[in-house]
Amino acid sequence: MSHTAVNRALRTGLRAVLIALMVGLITVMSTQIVMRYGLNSSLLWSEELCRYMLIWAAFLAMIFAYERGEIAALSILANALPRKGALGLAIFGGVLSALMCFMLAWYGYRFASLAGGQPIPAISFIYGDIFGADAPEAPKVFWVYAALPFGMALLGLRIVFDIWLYLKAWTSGRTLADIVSPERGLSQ
Amino acid sequence: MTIYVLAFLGFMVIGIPIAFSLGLASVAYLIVNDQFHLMIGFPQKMIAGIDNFVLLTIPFFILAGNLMNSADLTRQIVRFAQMLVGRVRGGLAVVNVVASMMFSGVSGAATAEASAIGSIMIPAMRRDGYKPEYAAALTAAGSILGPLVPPSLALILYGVLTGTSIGDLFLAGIAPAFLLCGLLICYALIKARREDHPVPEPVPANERLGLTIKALPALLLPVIIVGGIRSGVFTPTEAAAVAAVYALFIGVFLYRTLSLAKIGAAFYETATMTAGVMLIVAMASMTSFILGIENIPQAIAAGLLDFSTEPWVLILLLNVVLLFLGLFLEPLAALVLVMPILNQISPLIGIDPVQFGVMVVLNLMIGMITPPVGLCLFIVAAIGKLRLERVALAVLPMIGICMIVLALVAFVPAVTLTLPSLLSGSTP
Repeated sequence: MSHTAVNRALRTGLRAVLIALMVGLITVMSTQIVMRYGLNSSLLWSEELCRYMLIWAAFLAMIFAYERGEIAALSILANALPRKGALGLAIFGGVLSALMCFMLAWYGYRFASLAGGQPIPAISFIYGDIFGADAPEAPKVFWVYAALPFGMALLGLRIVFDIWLYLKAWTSGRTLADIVSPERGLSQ
Repeated sequence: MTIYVLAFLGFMVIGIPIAFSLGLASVAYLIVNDQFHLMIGFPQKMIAGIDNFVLLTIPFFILAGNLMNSADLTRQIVRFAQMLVGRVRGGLAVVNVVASMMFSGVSGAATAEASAIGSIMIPAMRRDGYKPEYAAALTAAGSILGPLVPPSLALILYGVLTGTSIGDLFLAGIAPAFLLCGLLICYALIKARREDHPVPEPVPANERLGLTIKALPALLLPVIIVGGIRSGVFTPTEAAAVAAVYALFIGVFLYRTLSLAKIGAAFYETATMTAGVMLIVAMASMTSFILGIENIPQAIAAGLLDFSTEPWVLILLLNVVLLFLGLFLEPLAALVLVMPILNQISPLIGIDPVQFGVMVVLNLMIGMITPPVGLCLFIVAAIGKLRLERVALAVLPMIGICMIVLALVAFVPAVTLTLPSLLSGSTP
C-alpha cells in the first residue's frame, strides 16, 4: 500500500511542477509582450528563461508522454504471437529501451558536467537587476542540462516498472493485452 | 548505414516505440562501428534539438488548442458547421469535414484534431446510420487539415529546421487546406447521393445567433495568429503565447466553461503532449547526428542528381520517397531526419522553400492516415471501436483525394505561393 502512496505523491508533485512550468512560460512571455509594447523596454532574459523552462518541462513530462502512449509503436507482431511470446518480446523491448534511457541519463550527466560550467546568463541578469553590483553568482548552466539525465532516468525507471508488470503477468498467466491499460490506447 | 536501417526496422517491428527505435538504432550504430566515444554527442544533440526559441510556439499552440477543447469549443464548432452546411443529403459527413476545417485553426496537430472531432462526429454519424468505418475514415482524412491551417506544429518545425519564415509557411498552407476540404466535401456529397445518406434536422432558428457568436472567436484565432505574425506585430512565439492567452480569456469569460481544475488539467495535458513532441524530436536528433557523421545528406543529394537533373522528375521522386517514409515514421520525426538531406536538394531543384515546406508536410501527413504507422487512423479506429483494416480500406479513396491536392501543391506553385505574395505587398 505504501508504495502506491509514494507513487501518488510523486505523480502529484511532478504534475504540480509541470503546471507551474507551463504557467511560468505563459506568464513570462505575456509579460515580455506587455513590456515591449506597453513600456517599450524588452526583458533581456525572457527568451532564454523560456527556452530553459521548455527544456525542463519537456524532459520532466516525457514519463507521462510515454505512459499515455503519445509515442507510437507497432503491435502487429505482439498481436500475432502467443501469450508468452508477446510478453517475452515486450520484456526484451523494455530492457533495451530502459538501457538506452539509463545510458542517455549517464551521458547526459557527463555532458552537463562538461559543458555546464558557466553561470546561467538569464539568471545573472535577473540577479543583477535585483541586487545590483554585489549580486550573488547565478546557478550554472549545468542545472539546465541536468533536465536530460533527470528526465531520462525517470523514464528508464518507469520502463523498468513496466518490465516488472510483464514479468508478473508471465507468472500469473495473464496476457500482454490484459495489463496494457486503456490509456495506452495509441500503442496498441 | 545498413546497420542503422536494419537495427531501426528490427526494433520497430518487435514493438519498441518508434521514437525509442530511432535512438536505439543510433546507439547500436555507434557500438557496431566502434565509435562509442561519440555517445557524449547524443545528449548535446538532443538538447540542441529542443533548445530553440521558435519551438516554444509548440507548447503555446498546444495549450491554446487544449484550452479551447476543454472549454467545449469543439461541440460549438460542430453545431455551427451543422447550421451552415448540415441541411443537404449526407449533411453530417459534410459537417464532419467543415468542422475539421474550423478546428484546424485552433489545433496544430492532426492527432489532436482526429480525437477532438472524432469523439463527437463518429458516434453522431453512426447514430444517423452511416457506416462507422466511413465516419472514422472521413474524420482521419479531415484531420490532415489541422497541420495545413495555421497554427501547424509540422510547418513550425519545418521553419525551424530550414530557417523559412513561419508567417509565409502558415499562409501557404491555407489554400491547399481549402482545396482538400472542398474535395472531401464533394466526395461526401457524391457518396451521400449514391448510398442515400440521411438529411439531418436543421438547427432551430432561435439558436443560430448564439451559435454564431460562440463560434466566431474560434474562427478568428488563425486570423489573429497569421495577421499578427505577418504584420510584424508579433514574433511567431509571441503570437503563440497570445493565442493561448486569448483561448484562456474566451474559455473563462465568453463560454464560462473553464474552471480552475479544467485549466490546470489543460496545462498538464499541454506539458505531456509537448514532451511527446520533444521526445520524438530529441530521439530523431540523435539519428540526424549519425546521418551527419556518415555524410548521408550529401551522398543522397548527389545520388539523386546523378539519377536526373530534371526538376519535375526530382520532385516526383522526392514525393514518392517522402510518402514511403511517412508510412513508417511520425511526421515530426521524419522532418528532423529528412530536412538535412532535403536542404541540400531543394536549392538544386529551384523550388521555393515555402512551397517545398507545404509539400513535405502534406506528404508526411498522408502517412498519418495510412498503415502500418498511421496515428490518426489508430485514433479514429479506437474511437469507433473498429478494426484498423476496415478503416484503412475505407480511407483509400480519400487518400486518392489527398494525392490530387499533393500533386497540385508540388507542381503548381501558385497553389501555395499566391497567398503569401498577395499579403506581402500590404505589410507595413
